Amino acid sequence: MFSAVTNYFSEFKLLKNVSREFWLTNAIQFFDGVAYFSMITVLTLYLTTNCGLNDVDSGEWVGYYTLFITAFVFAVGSICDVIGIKKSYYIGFGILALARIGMGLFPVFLKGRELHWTVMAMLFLLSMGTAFISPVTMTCLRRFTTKATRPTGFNMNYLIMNVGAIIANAAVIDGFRKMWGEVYGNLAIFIFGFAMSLCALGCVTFIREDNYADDSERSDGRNENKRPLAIFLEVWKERAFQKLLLFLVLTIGVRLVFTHQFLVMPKYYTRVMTTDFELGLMNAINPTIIVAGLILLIPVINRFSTIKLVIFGMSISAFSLVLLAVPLDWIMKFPLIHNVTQAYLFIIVSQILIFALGELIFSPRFQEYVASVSPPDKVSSYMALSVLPTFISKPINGFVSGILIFRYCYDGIRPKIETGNIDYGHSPEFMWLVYLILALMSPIAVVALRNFITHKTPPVIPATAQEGGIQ
Amino acid sequence: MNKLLGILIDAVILVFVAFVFVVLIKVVKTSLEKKVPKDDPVVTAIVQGKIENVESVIKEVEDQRTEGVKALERKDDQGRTALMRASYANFSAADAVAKTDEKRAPMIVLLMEHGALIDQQDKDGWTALMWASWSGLDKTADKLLELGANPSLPDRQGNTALTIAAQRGNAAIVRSLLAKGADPSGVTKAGKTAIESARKGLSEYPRKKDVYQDVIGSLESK
Repeated sequence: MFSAVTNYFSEFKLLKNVSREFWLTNAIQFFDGVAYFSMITVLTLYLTTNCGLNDVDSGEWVGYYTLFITAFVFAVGSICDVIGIKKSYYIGFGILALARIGMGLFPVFLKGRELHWTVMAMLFLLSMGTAFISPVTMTCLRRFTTKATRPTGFNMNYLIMNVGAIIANAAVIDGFRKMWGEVYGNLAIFIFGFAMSLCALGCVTFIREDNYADDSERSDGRNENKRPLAIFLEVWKERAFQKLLLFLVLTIGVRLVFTHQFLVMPKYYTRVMTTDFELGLMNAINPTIIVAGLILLIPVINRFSTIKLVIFGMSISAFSLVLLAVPLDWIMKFPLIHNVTQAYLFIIVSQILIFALGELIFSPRFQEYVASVSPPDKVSSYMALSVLPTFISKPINGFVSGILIFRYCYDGIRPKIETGNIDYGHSPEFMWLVYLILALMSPIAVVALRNFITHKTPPVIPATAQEGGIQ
Repeated sequence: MNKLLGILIDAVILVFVAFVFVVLIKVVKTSLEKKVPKDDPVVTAIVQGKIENVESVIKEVEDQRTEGVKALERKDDQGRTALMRASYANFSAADAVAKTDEKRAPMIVLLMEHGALIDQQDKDGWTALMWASWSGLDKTADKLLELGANPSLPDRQGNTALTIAAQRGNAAIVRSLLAKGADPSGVTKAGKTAIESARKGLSEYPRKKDVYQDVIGSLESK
């Protein structure tokens, strides 16, 4: 174990000669990560408690927010090639700062319909700002590392993002909500996000945009990156792409479990436990395990085939919902569990641990699988288009999660559970049974259709055309 | 310039597609509208804890009627009124409960002055007094009792405010309920009296031994 840790960190020695811009990019990623992860965890709670939206509306709005992020990333992803890194960052963080301070302050001054429309506009801006930042960060990491240091650079960036998530959850969310209570704690989290945007903007001013680590990365002015819509029109008739789309659709059930972390869990935690429950601490467990797993587990699990790991990881992630769906009476019979609080705490922590293990196995290999089934000359096109099914499923999931929470995990359900007024068909456990069935369909469907999905289709066009990259 | 124009066209198309999804979901939601009650601004103001906001919202909505029902008598999907929501809090920290109680007790008076009905029951048969008894909001429960809340109403499971307060170890509320004539011999459908509910609570939460012993003592003395 010790050697795994030293091996992992010794890799970072490669980064001792990278430019100041690389570290500034990581600092920007850290500031934005802390702001993003603290905001996304409390977003549904904020929409309900601070803005007065019911559970259905708040779930629906978070769904729209994630939908617009995907739409904007897809649409403006290549914009930094045209306007440059610094301008993209300035626009992105400018918009984010405006939206975050707006969301932090407007609920104090506005109410009712005015507040709802204003917050809707702020969410729209928030998604636009986020869409500017993520592609630019990828461009920066590529530009400010050499081919030799790039993989380590991306690993460092992933590590920093997860450290940001841990700090956001364990320190920012719980700290602010404890210090100022739920209502003002939520607002403080958005104002903190505004401050983080300013810190990131400060870092941007020090970036020397033209400081390429590798001169071969300089663009010769040709249109190298095709726009996503053009790519889609080019590949949508390809058999390999259609099979990939089928695979992506089949895995939606389990991939939606990832969105439960911010769509369902905050309300579930605070309603079956208490309003002042440390939801940040719970959400910090996942990135902590991911960081530890990156160091200790990845070298071991990388020995297995991609599709096997994808199915195995998916099955574990889906299985993590089983405990949430088991009738509470059964959990109460477990040794060392004496009351409802202990039962729910056991369920929550077990789910987080099992899900994190599944995610650790599934997530990195999922992208690898997408790359492995893509024609060699179209890997980046297929990767870019792999977000398509989630583009459709995100708003639907937001809406559905809102309805399920509204019916099975409403504010005030805990007293009714304790006093025997809630049967299984009306309990939060039933809500999880619905999600469990959806999640289990993914590994089952992928196993059932595995041969079809993974079978390479022989080319049906003349050999001369294949040389041109058409399949 | 051409590339920027292309990106902008893509952006317009994709945002348009996103809006189409939004509209589709809105259409589905509208068809379900009757099943999903609208947001209650009074409840939002109560949760945010500022009595002046509660008062101004009440003044705005008190004359409004939805299907003939006054705003303060309106029930949510679980059959709860604004008065019940004002009587509910769920905190683990005692100081958070106490702070909430300080804010909520005057809200009870305000809601009652504007026509809230004190003994309305939700779908499970809970009254505002039962919610306060579970939540440990001592002053709120006292205010409800003072304004005439019935301490003897049972819910679907036969729980009363007294069995609920006893089960949760809320000693001050148990004493107030007993003083107002709550019957300690009442039995829930699970076959438990208030004192048995308190003993069950003690076995489940032995760390709260002191408060449960206080509750048991009060019930035994009756």
